[in-house]
Amino acid sequence: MEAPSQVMYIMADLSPRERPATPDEEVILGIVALDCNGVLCMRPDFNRGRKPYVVETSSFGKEVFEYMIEHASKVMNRQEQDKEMKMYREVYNRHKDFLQACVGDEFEMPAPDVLRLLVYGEIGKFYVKSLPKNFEFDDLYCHFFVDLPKFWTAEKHQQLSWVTQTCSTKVEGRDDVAKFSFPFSFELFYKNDSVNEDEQDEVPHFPLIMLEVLSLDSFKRFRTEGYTYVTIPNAPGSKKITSHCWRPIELEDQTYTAIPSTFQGSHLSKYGFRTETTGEVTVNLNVMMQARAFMEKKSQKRSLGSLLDNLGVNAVQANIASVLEAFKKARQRMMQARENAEKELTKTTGRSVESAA
Amino acid sequence: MQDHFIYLNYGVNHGRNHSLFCKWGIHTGGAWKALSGLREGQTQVDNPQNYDEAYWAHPIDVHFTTKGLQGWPKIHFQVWHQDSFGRNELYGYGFCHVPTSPGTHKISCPTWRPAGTFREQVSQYFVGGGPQLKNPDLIYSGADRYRLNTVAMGNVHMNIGVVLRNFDKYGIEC
Repeated sequence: MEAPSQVMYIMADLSPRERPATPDEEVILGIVALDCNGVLCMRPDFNRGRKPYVVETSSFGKEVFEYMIEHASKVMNRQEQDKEMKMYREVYNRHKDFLQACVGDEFEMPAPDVLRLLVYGEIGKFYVKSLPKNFEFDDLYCHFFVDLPKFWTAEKHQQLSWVTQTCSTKVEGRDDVAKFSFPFSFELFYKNDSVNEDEQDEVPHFPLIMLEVLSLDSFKRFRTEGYTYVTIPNAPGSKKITSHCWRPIELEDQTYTAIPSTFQGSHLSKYGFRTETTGEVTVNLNVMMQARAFMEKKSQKRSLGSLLDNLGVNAVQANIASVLEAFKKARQRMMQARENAEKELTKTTGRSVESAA
Repeated sequence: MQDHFIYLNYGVNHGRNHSLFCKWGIHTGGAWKALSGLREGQTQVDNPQNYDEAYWAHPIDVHFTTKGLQGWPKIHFQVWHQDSFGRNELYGYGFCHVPTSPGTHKISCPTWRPAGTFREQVSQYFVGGGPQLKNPDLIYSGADRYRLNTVAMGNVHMNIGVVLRNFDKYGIEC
């Protein structure tokens, strides 16, 4: 493929003077081509002291001509060079301004003291490991939802549960594979606004994605092929997660796959709960976090601190809390002082009354 | 933000995987604007001689700018097969998000195609062709997908390089 170009030929008429010219004796000495990218091309090259080019006439009594191609245009002087540079700079600046105008300055920001978590993910594949080759249960689909721990909120219209299409499996290596490539994304906010002091320092729990893979048979009956869960990574970045699935004999509460929502005891035991492994789900997650504290951190060029600092939640809050604490203490001290003073006063006045009596 | 996708290729491990081509597109939310580069395109038809995979080595180079994080770019693929009569039939729909973290990423995107009824499947086996989505928005919305019946197909492989600029200025870690 060649870019379109404009071509100029330098030609010579090599016919003898006494005879009228014929097209055969017109030869091309050189070509100057300018292509659409602005490249000026000279063919053949300038001689620059090398042997001259030779051209032969084809007529009777061949004649040989030698010619040179020299670069004869004036070299640009300093002033002109400066002028050109200035022009280029201006062009680039204008382009920069144009881009700047396109981009704009504003950017959406979360409220102060809030960590904004964005997850962009896909449900990739489901590998069936130990399913008997039973084509009744070949059409698989996946139902999944996001489980929010304490202090996490989502906006009202935010979708937090999804159902994929059904997909028949295909043999890939030793596994049967169903492919969903199902997109999902959600946006969550973390704000620790607890009044309880013990909870203020708590390390945040990250949301979970609870997954359930089901199969559909030709009578549209469905049955569960596997449960699993994926924790949202607590560091930003792109992650490929493969999660193993198991299938219980009986399950009513799906949060039982992780720590059950009704769990209160000190030891979590799932003994006595019978399951069988079924397959693996691959999930791609892209996690992004945004908080005002990250901006401050960047401007201060502080290195990574504790997890809580990294999450950008507690820095400002802690400051306010410490001020409030100091104020409370000062107030208590003042109250005490006033009480003591009052006591002293009543004592002395009592005495003085006694003495007067 | 800038993306450079270095190449695309497609791997299917069943017999008829000759003469494949791919249509791709990038879908973004409303806050995103493409400053330069193309948002959609199509590869050449590749007929692998002795590989199981078709290699397209198709470059994609887009420069986006955004005012917010909502609607991060997603790439969607349609892989088509061209048979010996020059007819094109659908081989698979695929979909993936552009990674949010900067750097180069190797991505394998699984694809699927609509299954159709039993009758359609029989006719597809003998005659070729097959059902397609009437509304291709379904690939990237995912909202109405539960009504779809699909068959697993091959994978699209790509190398993606992502360059981010000024994100840390707005308190974003990615």
